[in-house]
Amino acid sequence: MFESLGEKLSIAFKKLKGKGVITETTLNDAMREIRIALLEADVALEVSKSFIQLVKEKALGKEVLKSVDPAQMVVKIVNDELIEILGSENYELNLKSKPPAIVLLAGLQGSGKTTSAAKLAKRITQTSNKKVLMASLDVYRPAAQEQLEVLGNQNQIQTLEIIKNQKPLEIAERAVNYAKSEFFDVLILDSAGRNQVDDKMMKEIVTISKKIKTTERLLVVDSMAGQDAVNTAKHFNTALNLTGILLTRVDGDSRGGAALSMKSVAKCPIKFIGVGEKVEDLEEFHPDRIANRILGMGDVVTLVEKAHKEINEKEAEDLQKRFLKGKFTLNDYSKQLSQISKMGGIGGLLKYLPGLNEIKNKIEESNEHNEIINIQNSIISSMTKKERIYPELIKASRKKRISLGSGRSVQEINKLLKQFKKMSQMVKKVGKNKQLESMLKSGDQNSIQSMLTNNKFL
Amino acid sequence: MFGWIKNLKKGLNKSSKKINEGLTKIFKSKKINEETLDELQDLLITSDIGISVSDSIIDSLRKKKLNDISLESVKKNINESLVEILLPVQKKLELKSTPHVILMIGVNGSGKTSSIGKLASKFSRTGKKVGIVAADTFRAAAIDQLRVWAERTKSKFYFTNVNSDPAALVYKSYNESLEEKIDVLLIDTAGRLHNKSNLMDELSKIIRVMKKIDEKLPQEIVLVLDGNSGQNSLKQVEKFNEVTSLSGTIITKLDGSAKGGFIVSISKKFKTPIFFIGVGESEDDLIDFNAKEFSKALLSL
Repeated sequence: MFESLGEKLSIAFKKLKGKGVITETTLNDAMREIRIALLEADVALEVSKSFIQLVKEKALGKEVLKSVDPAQMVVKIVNDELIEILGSENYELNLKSKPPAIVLLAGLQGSGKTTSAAKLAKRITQTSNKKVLMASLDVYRPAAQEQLEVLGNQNQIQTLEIIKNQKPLEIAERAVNYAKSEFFDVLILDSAGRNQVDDKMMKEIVTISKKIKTTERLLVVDSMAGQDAVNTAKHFNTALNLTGILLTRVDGDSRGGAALSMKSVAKCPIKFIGVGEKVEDLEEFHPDRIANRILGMGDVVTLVEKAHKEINEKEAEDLQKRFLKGKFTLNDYSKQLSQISKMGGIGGLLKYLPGLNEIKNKIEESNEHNEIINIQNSIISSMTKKERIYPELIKASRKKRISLGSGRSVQEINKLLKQFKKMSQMVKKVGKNKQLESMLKSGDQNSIQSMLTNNKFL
Repeated sequence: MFGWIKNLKKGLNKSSKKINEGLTKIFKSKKINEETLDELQDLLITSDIGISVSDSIIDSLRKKKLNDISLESVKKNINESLVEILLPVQKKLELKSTPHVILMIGVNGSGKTSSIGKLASKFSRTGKKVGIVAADTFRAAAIDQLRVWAERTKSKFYFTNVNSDPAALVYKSYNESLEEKIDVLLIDTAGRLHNKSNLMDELSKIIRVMKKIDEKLPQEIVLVLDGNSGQNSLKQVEKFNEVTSLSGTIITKLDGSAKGGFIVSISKKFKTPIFFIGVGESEDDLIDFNAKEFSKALLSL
């Protein structure tokens, strides 16, 4: 659905060829593309605007190095700025207070507070020797308190006893007293989901945070959030003076622009990200990964990772080498048809590669069904070794033989040969795609190896 | 006016006010030039409408060469474009078989369980016999949450042990609901991100098992979308449509300041019907989607 920013900038910068310096005029088109990329990634409009201004100032008058194209230079500037704003340090929770250190989780309905509470508790007990208590202040959603209790039982984390008909503030105060008397080091308070325009509910949480001395006030935010994330951050920050953000569902495929909006507005660090449904799936925040996602540069990484999962490391590397070299025989074709179908078909594979959207569509037209893959495999297995390497040998009489052997019509064989010819031409194009090649080869982007091993969530 | 229109307007009031203010600012002082159109597009974008739809709306404005660039006139133009896109997806959910099986799906936290509660309340109030199947056997206390709703709405409740096979429960519940002459069978499923193939396979299995009983099952597959979402909602529709055949959507949480503009993009691209929108936490706050009212409320017309 999305093209990568690099791709768009290449188009925008076509005019710049042969010129040595980035000027205001040449930059304007590019800035338009950057703006679109940011907005498609759900970065809030006001944040996008100030960001673009910043990038423009940094890029203006920069000399274009001979070895790189101006598009790449601008992408680098954008990427660096994104990382800068998202925050380059990792932050742990501040639990240095007179025990119990109190962590309050707040956010919209369905943002993932309860699951995150359990994940945080688990993380704290595993990384330190601290004794953690959890309490749910959600008296509104049916069985919300039970949900936290179940999660606590599953993970050997104590939860506050549920007493029906208590108000959220009463529960919070009871939790603090209990934590004190039982010598807990940390108390995690999971609050009910609320919208920032709901005055009554916002007042409730303000009162709780005022009456109880919290050390951490984290806003839990869905990484799929849209433009309004900026308002959520503003209002919750005004109400609670947030100490951090916890970004959830980063294992989804959203571009995660909300992270940038939140960070810019709330001015507090993104401390953790949720990367899966299991209680262990909470990670430190890495700004470079989110930056990559926002810019759509993670696609190649996703492909590599997917290949890694579905085939194996060695085969994934081979596949890439083949693509890069543009070499492809019917043998390879057959061998990989089944693997490729595992990875969501050819179309599914190619959509991850920058600059190949058009080709993808063509292939999808001609190769819509997985059934075709089976048919084609049966035809190829009826060919001789020589025929598979030199398909141009296959004339009328050979076709008849293959047709008898595979039980497929000559028309189907023709179709396969035609399609393979198209395919190998496309693979050659992929091989010539300099942008892809440089991305895979360049050292300062993640090397293939680290892409394979490092990217759990991309 | 109808109560629900008020409700909807109340829910969207904040957002439309903002758009309104912006529009007034633009059109009071300036002639309609490229810069102005850009700014107007920005306003559409803050509603999560997305680039391509806002582009086409702006383009159509540009072609129209408006003589009258008053606020009302421009807003009416935008409204026309929005209604044109939204009207085809305004569909009623109609109960046609007994039981009419409605499978609710969506990403985590989108509001499936609450929507089921609200639907159960809606149907039981019209005298229908409602069954609720707790096929989210994964999330902690999901079954308990739904049990509360079943009790509140006096619905028949079908459940099984935590972590057991949801497809098996669905199979069993459907057969029981046939015998018990249930009118509507609402099936809750675990939240799943659309890019997780194992979870999507699980969903296919639930559907496959139903189709073994009757090819027509389930009568409805309804995707629940969070109104706070951004452009990823399009991907959700695309991906869920790949493994299932969506009969419609429910858009939740439209009572905040999020505008839910992605509805327009989804309607344009996928033409997926919108059955209901959620505008509050109480049982009555799930209302029929009405294209004209939605568009009007969004633009504060």
